[in-house]
Amino acid sequence: MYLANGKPRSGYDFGNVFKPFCSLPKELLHEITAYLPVNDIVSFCLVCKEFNQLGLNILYKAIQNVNTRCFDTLACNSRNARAVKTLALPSQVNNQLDIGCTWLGPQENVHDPPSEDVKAASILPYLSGLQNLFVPSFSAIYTQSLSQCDFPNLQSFSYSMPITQPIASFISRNNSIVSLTFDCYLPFFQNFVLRPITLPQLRYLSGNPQIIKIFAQHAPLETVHIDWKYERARIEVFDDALSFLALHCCTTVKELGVHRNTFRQCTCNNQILVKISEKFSRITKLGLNSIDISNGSILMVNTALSRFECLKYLNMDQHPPGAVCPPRLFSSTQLDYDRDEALILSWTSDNCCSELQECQLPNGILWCLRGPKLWLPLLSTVPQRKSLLLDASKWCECRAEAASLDIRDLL
Amino acid sequence: MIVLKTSDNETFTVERDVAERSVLIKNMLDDIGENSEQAIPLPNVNSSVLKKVLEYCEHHRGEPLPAADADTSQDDTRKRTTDISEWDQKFITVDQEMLFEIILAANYLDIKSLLDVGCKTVANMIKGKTPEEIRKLFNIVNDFTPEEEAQIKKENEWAEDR
Repeated sequence: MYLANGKPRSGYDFGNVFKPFCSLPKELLHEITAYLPVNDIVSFCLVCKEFNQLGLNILYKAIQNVNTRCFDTLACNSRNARAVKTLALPSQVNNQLDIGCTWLGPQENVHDPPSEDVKAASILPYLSGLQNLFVPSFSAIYTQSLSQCDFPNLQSFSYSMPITQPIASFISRNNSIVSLTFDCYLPFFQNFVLRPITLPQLRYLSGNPQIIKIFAQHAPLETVHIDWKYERARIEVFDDALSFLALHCCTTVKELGVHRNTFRQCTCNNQILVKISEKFSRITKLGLNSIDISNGSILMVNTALSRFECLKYLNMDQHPPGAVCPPRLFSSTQLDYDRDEALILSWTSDNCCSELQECQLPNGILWCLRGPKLWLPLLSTVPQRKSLLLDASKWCECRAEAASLDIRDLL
Repeated sequence: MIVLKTSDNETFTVERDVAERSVLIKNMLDDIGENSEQAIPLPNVNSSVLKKVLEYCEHHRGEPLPAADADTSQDDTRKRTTDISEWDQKFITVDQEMLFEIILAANYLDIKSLLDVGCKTVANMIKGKTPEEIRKLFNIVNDFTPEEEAQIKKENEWAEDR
């Protein structure tokens, strides 16, 4: 309830000072235009010079999967180029291959207009506002171009080819980078020795063990994903990188993930868990896959987990983005909720992992802490078959009842 | 009860939970503590606008406040909905001047949901209009030369057929 106090109004009526649309602060105009669909932003750009700049900042903010004409525009207008914040470069078009196939018939159009990748490579130096850059694999055309680029605001850089000297110097020059992702079979070509690179802002790093060693020495890393899907069974390489990371970043690292290719199984997954627990006992988030929690190995797992003091999220079924998970065959006899619950309770008992809130088991089922010592499987992660879902929900109801809680409040 | 004082020196007495829809006022109250009789000065809002804003706060009292960083990720997806609920639609059917005043006040008072309603309303006014119609709508002078206009049209063509 509100009451006007009935005082006489002062002579000057503030309500009459008209505030036109243009006088709204820039960030509010941006807020408004962000609601517009693309076609309306194009119209909006044509209203007046001020609106044009506002519209451009939205229109050119994220360039991914666009047609070639967008790169033409960026090449001839530096204002548009400056507005680009995020760029996913197109994959390289392999003209060489096409031209090589002369036996298919005479080559026409030898003087094709430059293809998308050539244009994209040529505009790179103009993108002075760039913050996020994604370079696809098999696209060496960008490497040369990048060696001449400086992006003072670059925050995240993703690269999917072997690192060469030009790329190494590109990365070390752009030291505003916060997040680096390398996804490549070979981190570098043979005989290429890369010296450690200093990135004072680097917090997120994803790549093979060799990559970790290049950046860990001089960066306050917080989240590290060690990509180990290409290495064969040589655990020394991994161990070496992990020791190096522990030596330089053990106080800053909070989240650790190891990506393994689950099709290329080897028995060292539990060993990895043990090594991580010895070196990073204070992380809050851990992701691994294919940990063996069968009766024969459980002691090893228990001992390892008891070392973590602050762990909140444990994922034993973590897969790299885009990876194909192995098929799982389930029957109700394989899903033993009583056993799994007992395991989790033993991990979270008094002295170990007392902070744990979520735990994804190797079978893919996510367990969440719903009350004091009350762990329940998340139904959306149970194999989506009627009988299995019914079993799971019945089990949850039983547990909730025992804790005298209503299941509907919990799920 | 909380006392609010507008730029034109009018005072409004409102219940605490209504006033606290505004994050600005909520923070002020947290700062000065419980039992203060002092009126909170709102030098950037006049009485006619505050009356309207409080009407909105009263209607939406008790609803959960949005998380502070809920919108930042949405901004990038460019797929934000411009749907407005029926009551809000009716509430925001005001003249352009009042609409902009409400947006400014919602921004100053930090009432995210009201700011969204205001911005969506303006966006809906712009939607589907030609540049000339937008100029007429907001009384804006075209400061482009015909050449510049043609140039911009050409440059942005790629965006229209993606």
